[in-house]
Amino acid sequence: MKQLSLVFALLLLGSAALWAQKTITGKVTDDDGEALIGASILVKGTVKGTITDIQGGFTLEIPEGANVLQISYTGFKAQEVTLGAETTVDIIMITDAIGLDETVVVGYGTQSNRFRVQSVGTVTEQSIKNQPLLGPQQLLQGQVAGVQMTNMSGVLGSAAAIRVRGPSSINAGGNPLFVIDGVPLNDQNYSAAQGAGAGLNPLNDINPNDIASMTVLKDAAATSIYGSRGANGVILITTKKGKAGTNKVNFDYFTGTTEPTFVLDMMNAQEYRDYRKAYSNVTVPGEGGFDWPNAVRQTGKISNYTMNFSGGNDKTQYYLSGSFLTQSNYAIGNDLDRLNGRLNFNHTFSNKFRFGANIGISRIVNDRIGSDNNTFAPLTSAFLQLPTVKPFDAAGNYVNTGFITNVLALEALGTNELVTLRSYANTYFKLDLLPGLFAQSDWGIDLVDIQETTRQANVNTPGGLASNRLSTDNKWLTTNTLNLDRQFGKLAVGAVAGFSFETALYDFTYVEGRNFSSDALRNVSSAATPTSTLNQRSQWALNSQFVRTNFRFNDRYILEGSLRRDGSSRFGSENRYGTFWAVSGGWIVSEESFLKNVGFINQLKLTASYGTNGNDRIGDFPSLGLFGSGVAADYSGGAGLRPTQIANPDLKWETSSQLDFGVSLTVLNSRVSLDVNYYVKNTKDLLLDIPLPLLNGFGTITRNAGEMENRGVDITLNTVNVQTKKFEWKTNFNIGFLKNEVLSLPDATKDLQGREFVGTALQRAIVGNSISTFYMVRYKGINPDNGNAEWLNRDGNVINTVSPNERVIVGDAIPDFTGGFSNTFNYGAFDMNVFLNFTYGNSIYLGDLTFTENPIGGFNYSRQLLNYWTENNRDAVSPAPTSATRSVFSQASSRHLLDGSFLRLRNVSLGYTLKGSAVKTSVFQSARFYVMGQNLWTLRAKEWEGRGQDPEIADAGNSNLRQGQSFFTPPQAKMVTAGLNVTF
Amino acid sequence: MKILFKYITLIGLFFAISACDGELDIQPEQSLSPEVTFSNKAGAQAALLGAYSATQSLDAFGGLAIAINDYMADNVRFVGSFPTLQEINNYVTIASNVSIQGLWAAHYYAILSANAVIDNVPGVVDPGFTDAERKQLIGEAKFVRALTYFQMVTLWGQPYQVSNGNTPGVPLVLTAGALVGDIVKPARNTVAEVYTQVEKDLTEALPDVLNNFTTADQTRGRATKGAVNALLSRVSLYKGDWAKAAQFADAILVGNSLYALASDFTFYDANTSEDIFSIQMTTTDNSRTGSGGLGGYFLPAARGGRGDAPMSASIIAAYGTGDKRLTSLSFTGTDATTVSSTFSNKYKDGATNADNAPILRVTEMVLNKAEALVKSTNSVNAEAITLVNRLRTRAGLTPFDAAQFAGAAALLTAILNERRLELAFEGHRRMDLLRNGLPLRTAGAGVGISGPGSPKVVLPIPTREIDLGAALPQNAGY
Repeated sequence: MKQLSLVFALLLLGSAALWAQKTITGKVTDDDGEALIGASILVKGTVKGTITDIQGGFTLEIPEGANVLQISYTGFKAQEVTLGAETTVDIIMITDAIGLDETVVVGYGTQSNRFRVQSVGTVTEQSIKNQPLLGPQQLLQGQVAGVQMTNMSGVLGSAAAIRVRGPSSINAGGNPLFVIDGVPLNDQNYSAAQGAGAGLNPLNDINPNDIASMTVLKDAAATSIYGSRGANGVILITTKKGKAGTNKVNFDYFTGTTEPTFVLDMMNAQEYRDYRKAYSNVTVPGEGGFDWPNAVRQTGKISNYTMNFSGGNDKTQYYLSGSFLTQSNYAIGNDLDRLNGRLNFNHTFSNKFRFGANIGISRIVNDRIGSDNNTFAPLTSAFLQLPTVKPFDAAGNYVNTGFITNVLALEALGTNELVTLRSYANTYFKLDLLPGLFAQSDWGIDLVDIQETTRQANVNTPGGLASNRLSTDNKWLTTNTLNLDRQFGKLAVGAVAGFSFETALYDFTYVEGRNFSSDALRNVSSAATPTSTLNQRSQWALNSQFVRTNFRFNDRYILEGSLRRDGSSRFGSENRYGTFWAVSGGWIVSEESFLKNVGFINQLKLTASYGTNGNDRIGDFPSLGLFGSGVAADYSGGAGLRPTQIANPDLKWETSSQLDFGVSLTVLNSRVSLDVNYYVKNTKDLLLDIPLPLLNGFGTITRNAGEMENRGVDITLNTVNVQTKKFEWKTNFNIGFLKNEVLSLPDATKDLQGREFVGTALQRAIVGNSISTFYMVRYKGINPDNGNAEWLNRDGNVINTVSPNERVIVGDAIPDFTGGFSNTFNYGAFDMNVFLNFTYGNSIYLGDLTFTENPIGGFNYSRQLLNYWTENNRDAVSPAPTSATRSVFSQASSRHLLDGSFLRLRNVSLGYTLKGSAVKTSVFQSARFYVMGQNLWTLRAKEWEGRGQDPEIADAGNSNLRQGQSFFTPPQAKMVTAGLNVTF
Repeated sequence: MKILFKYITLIGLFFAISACDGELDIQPEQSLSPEVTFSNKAGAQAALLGAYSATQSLDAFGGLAIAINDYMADNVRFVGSFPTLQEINNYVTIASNVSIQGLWAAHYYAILSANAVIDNVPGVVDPGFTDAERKQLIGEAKFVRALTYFQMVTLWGQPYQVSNGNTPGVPLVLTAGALVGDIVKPARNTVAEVYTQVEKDLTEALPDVLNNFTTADQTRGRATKGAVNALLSRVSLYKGDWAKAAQFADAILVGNSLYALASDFTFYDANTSEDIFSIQMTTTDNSRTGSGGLGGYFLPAARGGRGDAPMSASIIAAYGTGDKRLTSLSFTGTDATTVSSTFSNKYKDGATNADNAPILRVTEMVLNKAEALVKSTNSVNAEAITLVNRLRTRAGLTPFDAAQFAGAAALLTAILNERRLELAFEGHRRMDLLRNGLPLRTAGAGVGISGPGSPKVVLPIPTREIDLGAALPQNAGY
């Protein structure tokens, strides 16, 4: 098949043709008369075009019969110039602060904002250029309406939970598909979770400074062309390209420090001793103590160096970049070094044939720490460790501190390192066949190579432990398309049709050994007792055909349709293929005669779309019954086989359908634009891990059962509030409202109130409610009269125990709305950006409180517990020492559920730009000095004080059923940086 | 129109080229289907080992159930920090306790694995697979099933002595239908019904299993006639069938050269003739559960354990002075709350939990028979004293004399005390008290609410099972 497509491409080479023409020259400038270099000039209705040179000039051969030029340049409004008899033309471009005529990248192509009928959100180079970026997903936070991006934790390199218009599946994963320069990325969890719900961020390897734009595909019109992988939304990343006529060198450096945004308030040794004596009448032996929480913290440091070269001529353009990021966290033992390189180039081989490549490579060395539910995690153990326990003996040697390990010894003597090597690349060949028709062939790879090494010293793990974990995930794909863009009178037709084949092979090796004769022997081969030798491989393949057509009549009426058929190796042969489609339409009302002359309206556009998508993220062999072997099945030296999966041959695609209505309004000389979209996204045949009574031997079976709906409104408002020669103030406000409801779960079982549900004892998807509903006993408080803790039963009467039968719905983890608010100011040479993001209406369960606020627990206690009930202290938060309720006080209840709403000053920056011309030097063109602060201020509900850390958490990342839960999840970092950016 | 036709042709060509899907036939590389697993003798044998492997789990016979049986009673001063295990220790357990759910799940997984062998071995098409070999595999699987159900009925059901077993036991699942998606939600069987099924499985297994294997680890680690007899002796004793308890114990004690009472206390984890059935553990079997195993619970941090389960003051006092079962099987270490405590030395490996789990051994048969003799004769039985004296002598203590016992009750108390001291930290204590009508605790949490028939002496049915609509009435008091 792959060979055939190459032959096909060669065949098409033969069909080139020649045209009669005339020549025109011209110059493109901005409204100040400055030459615009690299502006694009296209002869309308053809593929003939060129770009302006270093003086803003161009020369173009115009085919016979054509007489309109289309001129576009990023940041300026597009223009059309009708040619008369003249052979020279001067074009003045007008600034476009709003981006009405910007070209946005969509699935398998690009579209102009003006005529786009897909619902997408874009993040452009302009909107992110003054932020210190550490990872690509940061670009999404608070930038696009309807996209909720939550950092999982403050651990360096940790993943983010990203939801586009809500969770659209229950078990089949929630993160969107990422596509970089046409290559859908490998995005499995390759690293060991080490206590958190997920491993590290699989997209960490991308240098955010190389990103030119990101497009979030939201509605079915946009995503259905990604078929079986579009249900969670698709995020397209385009990297920077060189521009003809300019050769630029840009250097950027910033450095700064980090601190945790919040820390927990635990007892010190004296408080602990006094409390144990007073509350439980226990005399804690020994003297003195140690401040563990303080000992695991430090001031984090960050430095980032980026350099890139870009430019080219009208035949060849290049973008070459390299960057080095070095970072240490606010917790000991957590460092990250990242090296990135990228080469993008495009070459025009002949006037019919172009090719290019986008190649990125990276290497990350991450000194890891565990986190969350892990006694080897500094930011968990330091809070659990008794303050009377000391890390050193009298001679100053590290000691074993038992179940809660000595994390100081762990970080000083151990190794916990993850090295990632990654190459992702795309090569394309473009051949013009006829006017407005070209063929394109893309070949891509994404090679991930990860090595994770751990070593725990004798003092932490008696005998010592070492492990080595190797993962490779090697993907290759080819995509071949025919692309049409032609004008037939008043009818403009665009189409793309193609096929793609994609396959990836995942290989995983894990070795582990214990019992070393010396801590100085670091590797598994020195272990006396090998405890694991694992090697696994699995492969998947996807074979797809797709087509999209777009008709535009009189620049007013737009109709678009798309269709994709996917065949996946993940499904049984009976249900292997799925077909996904969408139709959408748009009406540019402002082009109608009744609005055409309303001066203040630049554009009013109404759009509607409906279509379907699938979700295939359910592992590689979900339908087969399986027996597994290996160390988990062996017995007494003999190889065994044990049941590992229950069969379900009828398993099929999960499909989601989405309806979207949009209004897009641009007014006041393009200084205000408002986009409002209403959507209803419905997922049917949910791939569901139906829980089974465990007496069947397994806890779950995967079935297609149930239906879920996300409905919401996305609003984006862009305004240019002030625009003078000297001062400019721009605002972006976006907000996404979301309501998630589980509509049916036919095979699931019923709770005491008779509603079907799936999930755990405390968080579940319940029919008629949200997918991440918290289901707990309500906590009332401490009775001031007798010091007993009180809860409420289902009827609302006071009880003194926590019984599962009394659980009710107490909240859910999905915010009512999320969004961002960004203000950019430019005054002369100064620029300033203030960016806030917010989340409202969700609940967060802090599992750590069941430990830190357990008055009879075996770990260190929160200082909250000092406020226990006595005759003289009746307004208490903890029961009386004599109360029988103290033994059940810490059992999970709404006492541990907090309001997750927050408003955060995500970024504030101040910069000063010095033009080379201003200081009469040609050594550099411009230099910008800047200072920035991230997460400097957070507004959270009052109940967090003294009890919880950061409300921005998602300890299980990709899981939709477990959201808004935390177990000592490390908070986000507060960061202050200063930097310099010079263009030569 | 001509152009349009050209486009359609080109698009058609595209789709024609891509319409091959051979690449989509991808099979798993490290798993087998049930059909392949049971397609020959080797696969069937491996599936049986898989069932044994399931019993190694921490939550089956790998340590947690044994620890709970000792610390719910009076052998252990439990200082573990895990809230779910504390609840059990403090007699405030609630039904959503996830540790108990883990126990339940691991037991039924072992049962499913055994059922898979029992269901599928008869249908294996393999001329080299003899009838005797098939019967042996099925017999061993029935032993695994019986052992697992018996532990379950003691954990989740009241002792047989309460209402003669006519109390809720656990649901009996006797086929592996779940493997092919045949999901069941059976009701709870009574304690008596579970006992009957356990006896049925063991009785059917007895003629078919081997007397011994060629290697010690298999002879002591797999179901043999000795293992089946020994478990039948225990089941009979727990049920109060004294004649059978003595009779099955005799199958080990009388004229059986495979088994002999050890002469000292070095037999743990050694597959000696003291062992009748021990679940064989290696460094890879239970080390990766993260929660520990026998060594993990019973050893202090310095030995790789958690220091959760030091010896109680009560049992140290019961040993008195000069008892080798204390002097040679204990040491001083630091417990989980950093207090210096006495720990049992029966298990050695707290780091990788590679100690074999002692399930059935000769000492228990001696005690079973002695107890059965006293109870059946209701007298100061001389043979019973002779039997117990073998243990007293081994422990370096003066032998009993018939004259020191006022009556059968006094002798029974003495035998039960020896049983406690011999089998401590091996998971016997809780049932030995309950089935004899004694409370689990006479001091501390649980006093007054830990006698047989009291709600919290048995574990709750996990809330999840009830939430999921299995017809399982909850135990009283939860």
